[in-house]
Amino acid sequence: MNALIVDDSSTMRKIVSLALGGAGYSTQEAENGRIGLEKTMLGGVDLVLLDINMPEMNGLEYLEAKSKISSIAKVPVVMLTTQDEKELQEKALSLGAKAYLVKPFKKDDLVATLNKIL
Amino acid sequence: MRLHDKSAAAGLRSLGDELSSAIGLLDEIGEITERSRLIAFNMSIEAARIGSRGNGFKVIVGELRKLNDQTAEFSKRVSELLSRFKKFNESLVRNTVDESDKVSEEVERGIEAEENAVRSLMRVSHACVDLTAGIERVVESTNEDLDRILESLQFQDITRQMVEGAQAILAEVQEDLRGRLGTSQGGRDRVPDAARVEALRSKFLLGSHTRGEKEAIQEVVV
Repeated sequence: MNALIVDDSSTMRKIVSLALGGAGYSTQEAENGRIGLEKTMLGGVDLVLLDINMPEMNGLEYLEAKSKISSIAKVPVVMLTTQDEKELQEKALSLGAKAYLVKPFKKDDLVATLNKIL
Repeated sequence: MRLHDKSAAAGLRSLGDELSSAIGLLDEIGEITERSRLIAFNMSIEAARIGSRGNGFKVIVGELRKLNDQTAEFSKRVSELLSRFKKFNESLVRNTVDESDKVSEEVERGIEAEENAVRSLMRVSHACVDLTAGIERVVESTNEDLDRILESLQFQDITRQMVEGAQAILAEVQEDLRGRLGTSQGGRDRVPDAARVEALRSKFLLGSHTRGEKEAIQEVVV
């Protein structure tokens, strides 16, 4: 399984990568929504872990753009963000996100969520 | 048995790689600490320059220094812990491969005395059982520690975002003060009035994205 981690914090990308690596996932990284979208379109991405607050293209804009591209519209996305506002959660889920996790996350919770989705 | 040993060794090597990645993360935390130290240093100079009106900055500088010290201490402790695990892990990898090689050599020599070979295999088998139990214990405790490390690192990263949020509002307040110190003649006008600071606070709250940033902006005292 190949997971794409989209987060503007390189530390956070490595933390998520380390957590997923231990659960048998291979990972690739993107530092904002725009680069994330490009990497998703290149193919081979089974799952996206997506932050919200990022420069250039934020997580919600990524979801909106992705839903309009038929070749990648069905790639599942899990939100992983420090923003816990209910409206944001509803917005992300309405734009197609499969789950919404708030940082700091526990490795087991993350892996259990991914296993449930995939 | 060789296959079993080899798979254990491969598992340990992969664990070693993960530990190396975790050590790499600590280097990044170290860089963040260094950057925060520099910010604290610059802010303390600014605080000294504007005299008693810089007391608000001094509180923040004090908090930043405390955070830096805690981060440095945390990184040091985790780094020591990971290094110990890494050494232990490497020695386990070596031992596992050595035991595996011993069995191969005995098989290749044609097992001269059956009795000796059986005894030897029994010894290796027992060693392997002991080793496997040891590996399981280490893997279990390392996983628990990795969980704690991963969570601590996330807190560190969120704290960094909070510091950056506080830094942004302080920079703007500082700029505002600087402008007024340069243009105003009267002492009274030099004191930042509460309404202006609150207006700036509201502006930053509107522009903030994370819970950490919001909390940091609420905490800033000028």
